[in-house]
Amino acid sequence: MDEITIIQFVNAISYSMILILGAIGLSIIFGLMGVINMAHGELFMLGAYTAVIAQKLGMNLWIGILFSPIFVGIVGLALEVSIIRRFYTRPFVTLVATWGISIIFRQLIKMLFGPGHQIIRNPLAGSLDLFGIAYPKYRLLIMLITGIILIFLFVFFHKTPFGLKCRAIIQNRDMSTALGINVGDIDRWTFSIGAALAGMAGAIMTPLITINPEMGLPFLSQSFLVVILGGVGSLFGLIGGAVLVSCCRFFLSFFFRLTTAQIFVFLMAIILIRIRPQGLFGKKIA
Amino acid sequence: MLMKSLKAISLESKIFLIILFILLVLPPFTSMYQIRILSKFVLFAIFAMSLDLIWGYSGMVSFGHAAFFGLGAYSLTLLLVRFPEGGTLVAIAGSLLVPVVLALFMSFFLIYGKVSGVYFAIITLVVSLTLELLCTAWYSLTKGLTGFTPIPPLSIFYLKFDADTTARLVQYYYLIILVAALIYFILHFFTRSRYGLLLQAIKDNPKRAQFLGHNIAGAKTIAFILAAAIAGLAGGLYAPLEDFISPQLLGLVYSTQVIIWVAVGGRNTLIGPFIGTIILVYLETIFSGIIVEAWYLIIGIILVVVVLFWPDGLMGIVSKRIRK
Amino acid sequence: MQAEKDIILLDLRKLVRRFGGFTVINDVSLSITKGEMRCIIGPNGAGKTTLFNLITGDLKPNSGRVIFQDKEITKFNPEKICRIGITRKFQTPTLFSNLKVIENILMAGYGKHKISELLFKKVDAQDINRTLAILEVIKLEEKKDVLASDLSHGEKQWLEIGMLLRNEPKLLLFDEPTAGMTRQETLETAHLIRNISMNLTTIVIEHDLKFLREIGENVTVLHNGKILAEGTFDEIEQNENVKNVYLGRE
Repeated sequence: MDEITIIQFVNAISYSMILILGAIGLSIIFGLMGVINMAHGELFMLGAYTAVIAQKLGMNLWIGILFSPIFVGIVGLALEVSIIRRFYTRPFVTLVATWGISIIFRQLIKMLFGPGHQIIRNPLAGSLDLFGIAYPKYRLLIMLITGIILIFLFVFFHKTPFGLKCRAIIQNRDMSTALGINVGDIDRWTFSIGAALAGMAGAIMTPLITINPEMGLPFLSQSFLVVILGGVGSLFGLIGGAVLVSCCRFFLSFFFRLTTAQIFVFLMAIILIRIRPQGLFGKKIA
Repeated sequence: MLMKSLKAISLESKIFLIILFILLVLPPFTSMYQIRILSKFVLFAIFAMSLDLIWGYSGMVSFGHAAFFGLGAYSLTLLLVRFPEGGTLVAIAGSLLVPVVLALFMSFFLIYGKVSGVYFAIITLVVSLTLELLCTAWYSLTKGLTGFTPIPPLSIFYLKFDADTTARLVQYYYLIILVAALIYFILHFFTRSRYGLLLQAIKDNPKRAQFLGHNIAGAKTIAFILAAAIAGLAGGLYAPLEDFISPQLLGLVYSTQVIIWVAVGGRNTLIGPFIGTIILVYLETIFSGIIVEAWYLIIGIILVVVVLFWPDGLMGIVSKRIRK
Repeated sequence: MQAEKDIILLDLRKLVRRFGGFTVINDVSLSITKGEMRCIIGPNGAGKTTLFNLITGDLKPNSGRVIFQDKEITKFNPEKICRIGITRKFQTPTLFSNLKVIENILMAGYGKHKISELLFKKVDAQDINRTLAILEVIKLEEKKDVLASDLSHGEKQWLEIGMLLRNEPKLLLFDEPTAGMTRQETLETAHLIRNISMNLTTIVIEHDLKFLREIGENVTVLHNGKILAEGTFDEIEQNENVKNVYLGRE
């Protein structure tokens, strides 16, 4: 493999890690409550704008990244309490209502910051020499941070009582209620954590992508693909889905333009759902 | 006799006939610009009714219905431009058939694949996004983001239809009203037939319907295909009127707009989406000139409020009043 | 017994169904003759509902065959099985709750129509008359314009029975038709089902012994996915095996 290929490959890995971080909320909430949050991409966007605000206030990106999960998490909490919880038995309604929310967020940001691009300075410019290949320091750091968060989440989801309850609800919501699990509390916290992580993913990505009020939509569609391909409600599925989406994108882009590559990934998802509705890595739904 | 037959007409159709009458007598009192946007409103209203057929009547939420609208617009345009010998009728047939082929393909994957609920919404969205990308990428066929302009007029017999002269535009306007009336009455009989009842039953309890012998996938597919054809026709008629089409027509923007129109107007009625669309698009043309961003913010708020407090939309509010 | 001249309507041959490693239906063979009324009893988890799911095509057996009117229907899908004449009542009332009572019955009547017979065709007077006749049988004439969701539990069960009748099956499957009913309702339902079964072949899953005594003629006892005993209610009541696993616990 030549240097460019390796760099592309590492890019794909780092992109998929960000994708996992962002899509995790969407997937877990879908598994937990059976609803899709159409405003999830806007949570990502709000995270990015937290970093923009931090920079405008003269603070550096690290503080922005630190504040983004807190701010977006609170937004998520408010969203869950005011809208989502009323509707988790009616997924269609949630779909439409959260689309309304996503419009509101997008327009508010447009009114506050204007429709144009924002630019965040890369706080960690330059590259690091790894096994003879120069790789941007910031991307390496992203991989490190998201890796740590994912390990933390994995432990949280599989080793703590909270995680156990979460998984119980994903398996069987009614039974969990009957067993005395406070389903409402779990929903609320999970939604907030999912929102916080999407926000953080948004902030972390700011030096690498274009920031504008519409940035949530492509992110949302990527997250959908992750969920469709990976299946619902399991971390492994999510990781598998994200790796698949980003690797396909990057490797197909050797042969085609990015748009064409994207079309192939979309088509793959559509065909897959006919063959394996539970996703590539999901368990079969009875 | 007349009174008796008037009574037999449903309230919904009476309202529609009144709107139709108003639309018919309006042209002498309006400017060319107004006729043009009115035509657009009516086309969007047809588009909204077609979404309601699958959403309100059959319970399939599509987040990608613009795929059919846009495909209709592109099919008609490409046929007119690249295959002018075929003439207008071939182009219109194309705007009906190409979306139907897509709908058949999607039915095989989604309806016969038993993809339901939220997945259905997401996959339809993905289809719409894919087509938008495809249209953007395939420059040699579609001219990509530049879009197509100008678009040749439709010509049926000796009449020409587009927005170039007042006479042609007025003709076009009446053609669109005629199509709207036709589609309304087709859908009216469609939804009030035994088959319409079957769709309601399937939406309500697919398992029971299946265990009474009903072919659920078949019934849903027919509704889906009819909706695709109607959306395609509306899109096809939109192209020469607007004289410009771009990949946006197939994508997320229009797919979600039409959801808002239907949600606000009121699902499960035909007149609801029709009126909802006309009101919202009218307000949009007024306000978006003055306060662009704020208008879309208001739309978002309206959508959330309607879904939260008036799940049956405007028609829900009105029909409750009438019943009281 | 007059088995020689009776026609076998439904024949289950060596049905096996496993879930994971657990065998829910284990080598079940069962013949139902035309005009018969068969009761299936057995403790919870005996595989009664699974048996119905296998007959109606909701589940496919791992091995074995389902023969209906001398035709193999093992691989048919549920709507096709319904169309050739097997209709089922679910354990909990399974209705179109947002439709009116009369519309529920109408939909049952259209079950075997082709879609082309439904498209653009209005509900006609004949449909209505047939529906009203059914409503009379299930005593819901006065509630014909009520939404199904607004009925009482017993009325819902009766509405579903009415729908099944309108569906005009050759074989009717009842999965615990008296579940959740009051004593009075149970008696009335038993009476209704006995009337129905005079002209129809029926299979009834039931727990309620009073109900069985009321209507039970041919009884099959399922236990752990196997047939434990077959016979009349009196024979079954005397059967030692049955007493041990099932009746003994009552």
